[in-house]
Amino acid sequence: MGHYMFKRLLLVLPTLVVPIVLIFTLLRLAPGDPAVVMLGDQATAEQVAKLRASLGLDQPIYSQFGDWVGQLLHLNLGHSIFFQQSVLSTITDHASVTLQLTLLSFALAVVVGVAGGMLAALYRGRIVDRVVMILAIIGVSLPEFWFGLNLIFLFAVTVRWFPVSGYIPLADGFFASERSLVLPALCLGMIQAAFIARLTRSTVLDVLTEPFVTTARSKGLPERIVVLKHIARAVLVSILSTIGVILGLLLSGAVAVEVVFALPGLGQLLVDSVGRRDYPVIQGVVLATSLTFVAINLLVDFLYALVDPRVRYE
Amino acid sequence: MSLEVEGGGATSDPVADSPLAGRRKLRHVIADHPSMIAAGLMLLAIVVAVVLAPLIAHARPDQIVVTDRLKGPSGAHLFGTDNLGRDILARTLYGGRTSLEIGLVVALISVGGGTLIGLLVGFYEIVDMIVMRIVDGLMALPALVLAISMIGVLGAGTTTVVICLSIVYIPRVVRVIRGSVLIIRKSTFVDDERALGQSEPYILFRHVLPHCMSPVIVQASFIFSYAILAEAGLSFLGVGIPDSVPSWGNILTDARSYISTAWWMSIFPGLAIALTVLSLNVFGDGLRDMLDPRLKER
Repeated sequence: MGHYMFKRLLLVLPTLVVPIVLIFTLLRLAPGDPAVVMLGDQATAEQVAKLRASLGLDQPIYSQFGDWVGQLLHLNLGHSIFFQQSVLSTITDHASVTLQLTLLSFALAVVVGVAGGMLAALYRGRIVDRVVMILAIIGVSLPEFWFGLNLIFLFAVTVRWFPVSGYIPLADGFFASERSLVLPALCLGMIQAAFIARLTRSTVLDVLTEPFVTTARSKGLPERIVVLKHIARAVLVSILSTIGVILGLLLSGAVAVEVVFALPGLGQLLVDSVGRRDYPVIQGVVLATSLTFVAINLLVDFLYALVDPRVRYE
Repeated sequence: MSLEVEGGGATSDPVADSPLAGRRKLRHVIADHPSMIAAGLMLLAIVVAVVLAPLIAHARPDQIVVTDRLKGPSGAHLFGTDNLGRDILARTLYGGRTSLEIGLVVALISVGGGTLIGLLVGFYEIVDMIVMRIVDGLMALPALVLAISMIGVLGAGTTTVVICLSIVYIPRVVRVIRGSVLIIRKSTFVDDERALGQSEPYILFRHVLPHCMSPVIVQASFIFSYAILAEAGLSFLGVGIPDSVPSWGNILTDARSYISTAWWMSIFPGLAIALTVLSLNVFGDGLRDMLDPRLKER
């Protein structure tokens, strides 16, 4: 196991290099002088020169890159022009909303998706299967933001069960806070559930032909035990292996959902920073998401190797 | 599990090659894949409607009529009007031109580029080492986050949206094609060609590429649908196609502010996106089942 973890850790390094180089080059690819764009038309030449110096833009490109990576290692992501504070604290201010939203949606997506997919597979060809699969393909075809608009129209405008938009911080009470996240999480979660249901159904159909299922059945185990113990376990392992993909979809979807429901999360921050030309924040958000993403994928790989020993010996 | 479908045509069976059998085969395809055919017809209808936009909609998409602000669906405006009095039917149809064009171009570039890279990567191990690390790195960034940040810095516009979405989807195609090439490379007919003294590029394009066509076609239909969703999302967020050109995404931007008073502003353009993407997905699923019979009935 130790050997496997070491090998896997080494493989992660190149995966980190690409986003870091890309994010660094991004700012340098901007048309015109980034300092001028960031400060706007009203800036004086002095202010521009000062910002250029603080961004290191007056240095040669290789030393800029070296300095930038050096600062990253000290968790220094730069300074936000709009918020007048460090990018790191701007990101941590917004991260908790995105974290809550993603976790809630993920839980919802796994529960609904696995249940739906298993039902469809076990009643294959029957009406349940048809209904679940039709709902699932509709789900993967809906734009998240439009699904969100419809949820707002139904549950916040027509029947006023939930607030139209906005976020109540955790500090103002746990339940009030979660209530403000119900519609957004429903929106993001149901669309991911559709994806998971499709995946679960094909996994179960695969597993059903495996010898261990036949053995379990021929031992005379009740069908309930076969499904819950043997099949469900295989499904969870296969979902574990695609968690990376699901998380990427969730994080991408969260951007649009946060904007639709006016939640002050990282997605909203990213979109607003694009409008404000706050380049250090854009870089910081992309870097933070990709680092989280890589870290979670690594963790999943370790878990996967723990659950499925075959992986370790490959 | 019916294995008799496609692929059998590769052998030179005189009966299968006769025109009569061809027609019978087509009828089989229609009978075996009714939902795929329905989805194909739906797509065709959407494309025709979008191309014939000037004949269907009476108004121009950017014609502002202040007195007609926020009118519900009626005989004069089938889909109603928006907050500036613009006809939503016209905007949906003309917006479809932009969205479908972008989806198609992104699909062609991503699948073309991805296939080429996938072929080279799967065939030459040195290229594989380097390129696959870059592919992994690019896939370590959530698609929409990567696209928003690139567009945010490069500036919104049709070209940047196409370039950024292609960069997002090329790695996905590379992975799929590489997988197929790695399997085909090991088959005996590739060894035979080598023994006959054929050059590597000749084998690659003349023999390996045709065997990758099924995944290529399936990927093209899925990327087309992803790209339409992505463009809509980006433009809705205001970081895609600028407001001066209607697209399915940017006509929905204002709909959010009027959700409690003018539901028609969001319903119709959204339905257009959902129907198109749904048809593409059903069509793609059907293609996959047809071209890869092993996956059928899953």
